[in-house]
Amino acid sequence: MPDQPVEENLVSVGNLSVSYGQARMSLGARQRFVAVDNVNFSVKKGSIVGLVGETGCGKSSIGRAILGLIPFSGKVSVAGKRIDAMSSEELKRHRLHMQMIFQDPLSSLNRRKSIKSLMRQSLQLQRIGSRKEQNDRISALIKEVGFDDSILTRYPHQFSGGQRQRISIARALTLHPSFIVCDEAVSALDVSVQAAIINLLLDLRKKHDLTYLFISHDLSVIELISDYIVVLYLGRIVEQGSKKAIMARQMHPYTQILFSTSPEPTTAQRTKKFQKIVSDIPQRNTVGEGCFFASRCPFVMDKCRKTYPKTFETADNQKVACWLYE
Amino acid sequence: MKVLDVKNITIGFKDRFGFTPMVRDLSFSIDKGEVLSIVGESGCGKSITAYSILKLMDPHISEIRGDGLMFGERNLLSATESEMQQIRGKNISMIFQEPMSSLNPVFSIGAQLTDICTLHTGDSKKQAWQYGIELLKRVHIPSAGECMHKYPHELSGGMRQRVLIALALVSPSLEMLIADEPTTALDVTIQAQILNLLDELRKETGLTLLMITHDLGVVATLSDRVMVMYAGRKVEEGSLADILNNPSHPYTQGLLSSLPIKQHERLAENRPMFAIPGNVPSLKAISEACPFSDRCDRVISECKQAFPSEAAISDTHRAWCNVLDEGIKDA
Repeated sequence: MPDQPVEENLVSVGNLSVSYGQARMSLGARQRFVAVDNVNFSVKKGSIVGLVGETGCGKSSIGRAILGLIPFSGKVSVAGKRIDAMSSEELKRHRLHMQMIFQDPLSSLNRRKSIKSLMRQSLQLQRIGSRKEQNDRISALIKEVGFDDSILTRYPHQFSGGQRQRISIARALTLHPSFIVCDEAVSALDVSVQAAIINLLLDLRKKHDLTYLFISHDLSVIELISDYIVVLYLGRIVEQGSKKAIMARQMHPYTQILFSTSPEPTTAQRTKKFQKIVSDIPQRNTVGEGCFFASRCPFVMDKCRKTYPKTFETADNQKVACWLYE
Repeated sequence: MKVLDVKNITIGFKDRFGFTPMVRDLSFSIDKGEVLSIVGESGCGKSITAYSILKLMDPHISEIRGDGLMFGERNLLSATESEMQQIRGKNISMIFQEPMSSLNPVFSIGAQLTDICTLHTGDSKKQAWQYGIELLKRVHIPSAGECMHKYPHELSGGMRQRVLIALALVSPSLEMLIADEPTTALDVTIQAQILNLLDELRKETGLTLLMITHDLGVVATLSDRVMVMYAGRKVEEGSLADILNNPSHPYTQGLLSSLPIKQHERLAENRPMFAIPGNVPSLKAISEACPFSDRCDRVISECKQAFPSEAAISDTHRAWCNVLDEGIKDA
């Protein structure tokens, strides 16, 4: 994407780890399940960073941790302030700058509330503006996402999936945030609607100077709109780099497999055989000391099974955690 | 040879206000050993069609009308429930989208497999257990013997889907497999494994497969023929190459152009992505007109009056549209 050369980091994530408590299964100590493990990346102002990975790789946990919605360890700063050191009161004030759009708008919008009261909630919580100012802001935003005022008295169930997602987007914008986490925001939508929602997101980005962290399992969407791609596997980053670099050359074997197994709607796909992948995604708590991908990797070496790879960096800042590049 | 020949059926739901058609005037057929995909967005009636072939929908609230649902020599429309029981799983079986909810969580995989094996093959429990292990091996489950003792929650999503495929393959007299969004709930790398498996089974056993999906990538991987549905109507039908390389119906064209993979150029030129304007109409609000007429950019007055008649583009390729690319077709 053009118009990108601003070098300022809006969000930076350092050594971020998220773990969840796990009930005691049998005798022995309680284990904690590590969902995100020592993750480092940053998001430049005005850019779109795509976070891609399969189920259970911790992509949603990262999104939530950055907004301070779940406990985490590590350094996270958004819009110049450290989230990790904040009290809950400060965090609440800071959410003016950061918002989230969820995958399923029907479950993230309270069905008993009208669209207007749903959109007003955050303004009321943050005590912004008089009632009239709030109303003005709401109707301006609802127009921006392609509706008119008449829908404000209606309820979420009266809309289709795509329309609801538009409402969620408008709601996320009520506080004029600078940073939005889109957690699988277009994954539940049909292709023909998906394109319209992505257009809206790109359009709003220009108008409101937004920065997105775009979380998705769908590689085709990520590679279309992101400027920078982060690939996760079992809670760790295996590869990250600019879209240009990653599209040109996928370095980590996992990224290669991810790219080659996404079926393309072309007639050539019919005769193409998928690269053989040995086994299923292992459980995070069963992988040993070595590289997490070792059990499925076609290029596995002895070393991979013993020690987790260091991160190697190429000339154009593509970072890969794999011993092949030592 | 036609395995299944669906003749002009209308599927709908009944309530106290009357009959509401969800799928209208649908006809299609599948030849032996062929893979036919039904593609469409949510609510286009593709799953209802699949369920109706096996008559899995509650007869108290739904109804299938039409000229025939021919499975070989039998007309399934007039088959009784007990006759259908003989066909389900034995001659036609089905795999579903959510593998967790289609397996019984309180029985082991072995129990569920042997149960069905004894039913369809008349084997003893012991033979059925061996046969079960064989089937699990055929769907490439590692340490199949061990897997027989496991419960569904102990398996990953991909493994569960394999077990379901094994369950569907139990019957030796299986003639057709219906797969309703078989990989939608799975990750891409697992999806690739399952698609490879289905492709392998098709080649080895000459399986006839009816696949229901919304993912054109999946369609491209497996299908011989493709049928595109929109709001309860078949709008286009053709070979895989016809549909992907030469789509004729404005909806199919729109669907293909709205795929993210086709949009890189537009975004690079700073233009907005291509999107079909409007929303999928609610099936309840559909009239006799072409259901796509509200969103179509080539709409003419005829489109609003009646559903267009069939237009043949080639021997294999048909579309139901008044305004095909070549210009307005003759009445």
